[in-house]
Amino acid sequence: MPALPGHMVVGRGNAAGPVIGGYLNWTWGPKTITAGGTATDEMWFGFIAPCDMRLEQISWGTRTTVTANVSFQCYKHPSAFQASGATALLTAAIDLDASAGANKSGYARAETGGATTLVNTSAARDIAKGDYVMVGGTYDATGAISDFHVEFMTFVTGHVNADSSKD
Amino acid sequence: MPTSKQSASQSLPAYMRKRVDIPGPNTGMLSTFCWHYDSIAAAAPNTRHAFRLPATFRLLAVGWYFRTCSNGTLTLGIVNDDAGTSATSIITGSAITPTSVLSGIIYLNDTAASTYITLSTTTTDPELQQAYLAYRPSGTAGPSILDCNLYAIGFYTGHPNVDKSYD
Repeated sequence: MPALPGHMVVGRGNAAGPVIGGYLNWTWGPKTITAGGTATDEMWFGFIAPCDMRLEQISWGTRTTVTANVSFQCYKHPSAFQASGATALLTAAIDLDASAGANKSGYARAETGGATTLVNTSAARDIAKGDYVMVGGTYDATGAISDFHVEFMTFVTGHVNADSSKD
Repeated sequence: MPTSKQSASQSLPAYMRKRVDIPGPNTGMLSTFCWHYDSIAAAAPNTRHAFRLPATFRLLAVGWYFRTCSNGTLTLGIVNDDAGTSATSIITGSAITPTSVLSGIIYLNDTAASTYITLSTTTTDPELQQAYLAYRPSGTAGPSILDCNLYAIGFYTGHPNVDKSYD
């Protein structure tokens, strides 16, 4: 590994650098939708990846029981979010009013078994610096959701920034 | 031959010595801070979130991601003070026009970009001290935003706690 700038070895002893190898959580929410709306795609969480990372788990939860017809899917896209051409990260959209328990929470990992998993391919789980990662949710006029959160747990595989001008 | 920092790690409590090369539990680890607003009304500018850092922290990037946004210019800033209100923004050229830039990311000292983070204008110490960082979306023209996602990423350069009472 090339020598890192000084600010990346501050307090690190012999460690190779500050940013590769650790877990990084992205927690989004709360999102509340009141029943009676008409639009779709009414729930968007998202970020641009600041470094290369691998998606390890997606988990979610709500405060109250979902009344009807609220679902979401997670996507990755190399430029900006688009409904077509995006790579789905879950093997199926999560139907929050039908599939979860009383707490309406769950998780998806790249493992066999269970109702929902991550898509276990490098094309889906390896997120490059600059990729767009987002959650898109849909609901109908009777659907409502309270304090919905989604968490992405990622494993860092690349440096955020190697700038050394402030060493 | 142990380095001085390895020697320092030997005086730490046992649970911290499990990470021999890293003299503490959080030094060098990446951390994200994420916020989501359902909506920001045009009549309510200067929305801000703040948090207090538990240890010195090197900011590496900030980003934003909106579903929709009305006309208007949004000023996205991070300040380094204990109130989150009056300090100088540490983002250089931070004004963005969200109708055309619904998402983006700003890196530390990325001088090739028109908007980037600089830490030198507010402190000679490149590490953010224990202080509030605050995003300050403030639209003089009153942009309204749906699903406003904001995030910051960086890594700790100091220890939040070296308490030994439970060792």
